[in-house]
Amino acid sequence: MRDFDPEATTTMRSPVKQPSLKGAGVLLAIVTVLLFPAVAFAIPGSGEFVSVFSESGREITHLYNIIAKICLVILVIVEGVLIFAILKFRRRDDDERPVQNHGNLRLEFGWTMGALLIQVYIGILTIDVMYSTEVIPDDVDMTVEAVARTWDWHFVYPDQGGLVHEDLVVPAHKTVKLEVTSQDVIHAIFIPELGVKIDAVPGRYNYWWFRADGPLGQVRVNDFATVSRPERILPQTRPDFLSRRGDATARAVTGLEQQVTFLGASPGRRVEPGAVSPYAGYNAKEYQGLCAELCGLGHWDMYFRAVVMTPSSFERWVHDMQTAVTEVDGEQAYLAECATCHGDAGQGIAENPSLVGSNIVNNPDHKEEHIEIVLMGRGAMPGFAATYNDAAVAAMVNHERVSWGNSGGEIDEDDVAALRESLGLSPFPAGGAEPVDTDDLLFQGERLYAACSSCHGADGVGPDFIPAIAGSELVLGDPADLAQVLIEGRDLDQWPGEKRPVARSMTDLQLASLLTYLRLSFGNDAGAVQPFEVEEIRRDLN
Amino acid sequence: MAAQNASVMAGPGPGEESLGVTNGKIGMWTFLVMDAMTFAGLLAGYARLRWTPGSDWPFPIEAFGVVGIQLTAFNTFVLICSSVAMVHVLAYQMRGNMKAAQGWMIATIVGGLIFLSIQGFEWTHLILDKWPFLFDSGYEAKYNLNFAATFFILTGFHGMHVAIGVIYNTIILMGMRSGKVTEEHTSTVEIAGLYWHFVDLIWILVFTFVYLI
Amino acid sequence: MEIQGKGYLSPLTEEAKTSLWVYLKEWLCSTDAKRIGVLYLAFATFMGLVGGILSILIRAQLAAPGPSVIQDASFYNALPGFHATAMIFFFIIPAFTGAANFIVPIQIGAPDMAFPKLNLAAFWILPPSALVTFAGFFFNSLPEFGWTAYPPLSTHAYSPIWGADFWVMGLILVGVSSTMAAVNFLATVFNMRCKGMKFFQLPLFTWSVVVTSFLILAATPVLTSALLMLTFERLFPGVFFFFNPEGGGDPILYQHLFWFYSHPAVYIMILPGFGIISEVIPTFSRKHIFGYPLMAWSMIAIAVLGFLVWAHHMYTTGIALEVRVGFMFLTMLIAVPTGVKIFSWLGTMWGGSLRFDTPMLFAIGFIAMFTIGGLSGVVLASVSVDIQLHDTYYVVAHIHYVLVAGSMMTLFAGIYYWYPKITGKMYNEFWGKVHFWLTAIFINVTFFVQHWLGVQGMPRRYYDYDPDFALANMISSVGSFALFAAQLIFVWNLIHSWKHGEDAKANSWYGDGFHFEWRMPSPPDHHNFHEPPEWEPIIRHHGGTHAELWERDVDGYHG
Repeated sequence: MRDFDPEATTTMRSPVKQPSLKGAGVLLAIVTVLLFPAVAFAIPGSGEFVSVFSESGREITHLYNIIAKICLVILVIVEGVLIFAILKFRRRDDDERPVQNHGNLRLEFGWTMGALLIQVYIGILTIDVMYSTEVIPDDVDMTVEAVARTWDWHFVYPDQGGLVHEDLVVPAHKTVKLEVTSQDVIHAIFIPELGVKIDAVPGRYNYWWFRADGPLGQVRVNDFATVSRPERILPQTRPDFLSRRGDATARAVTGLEQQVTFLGASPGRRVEPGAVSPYAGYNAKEYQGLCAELCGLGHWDMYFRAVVMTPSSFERWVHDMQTAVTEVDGEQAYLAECATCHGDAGQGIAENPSLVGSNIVNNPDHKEEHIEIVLMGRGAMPGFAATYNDAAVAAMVNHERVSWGNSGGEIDEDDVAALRESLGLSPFPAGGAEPVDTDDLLFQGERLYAACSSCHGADGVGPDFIPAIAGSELVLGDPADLAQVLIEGRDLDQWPGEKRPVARSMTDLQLASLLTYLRLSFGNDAGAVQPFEVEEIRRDLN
Repeated sequence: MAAQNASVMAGPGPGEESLGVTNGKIGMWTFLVMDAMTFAGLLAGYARLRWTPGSDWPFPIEAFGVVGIQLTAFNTFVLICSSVAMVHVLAYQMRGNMKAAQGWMIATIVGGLIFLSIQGFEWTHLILDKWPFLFDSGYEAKYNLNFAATFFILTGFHGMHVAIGVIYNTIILMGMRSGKVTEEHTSTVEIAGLYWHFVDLIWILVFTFVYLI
Repeated sequence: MEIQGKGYLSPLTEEAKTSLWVYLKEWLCSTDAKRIGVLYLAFATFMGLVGGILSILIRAQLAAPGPSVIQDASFYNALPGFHATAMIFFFIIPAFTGAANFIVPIQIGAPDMAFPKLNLAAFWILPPSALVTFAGFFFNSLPEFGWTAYPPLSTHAYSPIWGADFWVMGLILVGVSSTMAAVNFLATVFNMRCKGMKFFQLPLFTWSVVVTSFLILAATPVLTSALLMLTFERLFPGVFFFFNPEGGGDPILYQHLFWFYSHPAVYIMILPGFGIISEVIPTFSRKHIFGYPLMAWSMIAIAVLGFLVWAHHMYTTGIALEVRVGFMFLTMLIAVPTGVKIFSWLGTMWGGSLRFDTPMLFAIGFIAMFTIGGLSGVVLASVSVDIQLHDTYYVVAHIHYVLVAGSMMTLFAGIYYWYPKITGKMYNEFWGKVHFWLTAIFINVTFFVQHWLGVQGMPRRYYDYDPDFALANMISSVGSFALFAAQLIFVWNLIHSWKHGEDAKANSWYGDGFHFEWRMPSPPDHHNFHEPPEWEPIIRHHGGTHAELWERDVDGYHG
């Protein structure tokens, strides 16, 4: 192996002296290639985060900007050394024999430590931001439950009497806690502009919080710039952002029939181009919400609106929702919920069964089974018991039973209510208008009372100098008086100035539960108090 | 071409055996690392499903019954005996007593077969008598599906290894009978022994996790 | 027809000299690691083109908002998963395995792999497993759960299709194949090194293959166990509920097991590339590698750390904050050995005598662009930032800077570098350079704008998107078409030059190659060495200046 041939060097391929012009060309091209990304990194705004409309979002953006700048410096150093080496050390003569060095301990140790220090610095910065953006603050103003399913969202507002809505509507500059879960596969709630993202995992809750910017106000982007976001909203004509997606629907007509339902906005939310937002009547700002975790066919089409309103608008909206008379349109509900899988005309898509001529739909004996499937779901199909009230379920079922040549006979709300009961489901909580079950109120109230029992006693009778609850006139009287004492607190002779406004930060549901518990326990028998009553009481107090 | 290869592969080629052991042994060890990781994955899944709040995991003795655990304890004993027998195979082969080696090999194989049949009996019993909910969706009683599922996948995957080991040992036994595996081929038996002891070791882990803890 | 060929390409029997069919059979049944290596490379090239076509379909659909090329959202949803499967399991990993098959035995001075038959078996598992994995294409039953296959989406209830079962089983088979290859490489390098080839004399490419094999050995079986559980859950619905919360299972458990494999898989795909660059740069710089021990140790460090960072793919799943802090620091630590490698390559070039042939161009392009991928990795390691960028196009840009500008460019560098050795012919230098420039430019055109899309909040795996993103997507799509077209030049160059290229010298790179493969004729003979080779150890003066000049023109052969 070692028959070393000194002439070997002369057998090399074409010993051409590389002209310096060629080297310059190579350099120019490399620089162009490298500058493109480097410049794009550096142009202000191009690397800027979109999440600048909430406090935590701005913190994350700020962190990103710091890290991006550090990275840019490292990138420039590496590319600079590379280009310099290419220029300086290019082979000028084929007989060049460079001096060897196998390493330099000091240099190697130096850059290892340097890299380590930078990483630790970034890590420590990140920990700060993590704690301030992720740990749920103690003073949560409002809780919203975000429930995902294939392929839509619904939002439950426990503080507003269990209202259920298809969009996330929150007051501006209030701390909102999101409780995120899923009914079927894994989804992820994502509102880029508010810096909200967390997975919706079936069988567990994940939590996130945010304080969103409202329709007014300036936004501080980072230390260097203050960008004023002009008020884009003209209350009566605000366009609906979902309507920009109308093009998709229009073009899809040329495609295969069965895919048409997947195109455009969510099937139930087909929005005409130029449509006006349903929130145009409120002073509100809308952000785009979507799903970030691959969840199957309609993953790309799980848009919802994150609507941030001024507090007064929000109150008006809640009131509107709770008092709205919902006209139930079976076809509308069917298109919104069922057409994704069963097709616009019930023909069934891919693996999903056709409803046309199906036995369950046509046979009058299977009415109950039909309702049960719609309420509870079956296989991959989700249940709608928690989303639709009896009238809506009945309308949906009837639409299926009498359309497309089916003739299964109609049902009514009472059938649905009866089946709900036989399945052991609680009646549907349709907004604040539907009463909350007294047992539920008592259950919650008992837990809340635990904080009071140290003074007032576990059985409603405390020490002599503390008013008893059992048989108290205040408790048995008008709930509004009791509520006022709990909300505002009251001076007592023994401890002047010791007001205890225990209920001031309670939600309507919580206060209603506590009131109900006080009025129905310890031998009291004064009747339950519903959350909407508490809301009225609070409105009167203000 | 095959002939040329054989000539290269027969003796230690240039630079072969840098570590002083045969390639086969290194190959088997590295394979066992990989196999151990497969079991590690399954056991990690088991641990996560079991030791999670609200998993409602039944106590194994209650789930299998005392007799069930004792039967499996006996089975464990059989497998360990079989492993000991495998040690004797190698010992006799190294001393050149191929007849005794063959006898011990038969004992090893029989041990493996007894293990498999007892496990087969246990599975049939569990599926048919003890856990009817597996095939009866209308079964009402309270039960824990994950307990059965992890049981089947862990013992099943291990049982597959035992079955492969029995076939592997049988092939070597046949080699011994036909004179292809002689006292010179100790490494062949040693490698098979490595596998067999590994299967034994894994069973002790599985037994501890699934039955005892 | 007379079949001719030099070295290992020559027919072994008289029969094969006259019959193409016999010659072909000889190749397909060969236990020669070099021939198996070429088979691997051919298979990988084919699958790479398949994966490329899938990516072209994806980009064609995304070129403009709204349904265009693909009218069926369901078909689109299957594409990203299959693109990833094809590229990861059937292109990058087999391609590196092929290069390693050819080069590793030669570099350590061995006649062949430790287990030649196992080697052949490992290769022949691949094509059938590709068929099984892609079976859904043949009977229109495509799984739509991406390559991650998160349950419950991938369970029977939400993916009730045969194609998904086949996909899962195909992946288990690929795992078996790659673990077989890994066992083989480890046994070979541990036990078949020639005299003088101590562990810290091993060429860095061989080092990288050793480390990669360890990763495969320890990580792949965990994926296998997860997929086994998934298969049982799919095949016996109602009995097995490992991952479905309906029956008490835990969907996050699957993600833990999956990423325990799939994060090391990233290093399985990039470490051999690091090894190739560590071969190419010294050759074209006429300098020994800078900081050899640190280069080897940093690969080991990357491998070890690679096992401890899997949860950084799961920051949004609701893992406790303290746990995520731990994973974040471990993730950031990985940037340290990676940075050390980049600086050491620069250190190797510093003071050298650089010549810019195609392999060197690819190596330089790799350093320049992989740095971008590495730095966006640093951005993503930061938990708060990652949560916002998770599942957006920023992540897509990051993985493609790492895998296309990283793995694929290094692969090209390796193939151009060893092409004269493998075929005995020189490739066409002009078209090689054209290929490099088109690739380098259009990788940036395709993937750089995706960073912007990501920070603006465009999620991945979307069939249709907000029209605001139209321009950037159009740029990216145009770039990807050009990128794909450039690869056709590469394939043409390989095939054409094999027939018409000029004959290669033994030490093709101006006499500067100094490992064993450059001290034998191009192409090498059957069984590599005629007599047992001996490696004269390189003595490395670490630190200080020794006025020792480059004199490694060990060109014993002139081909």
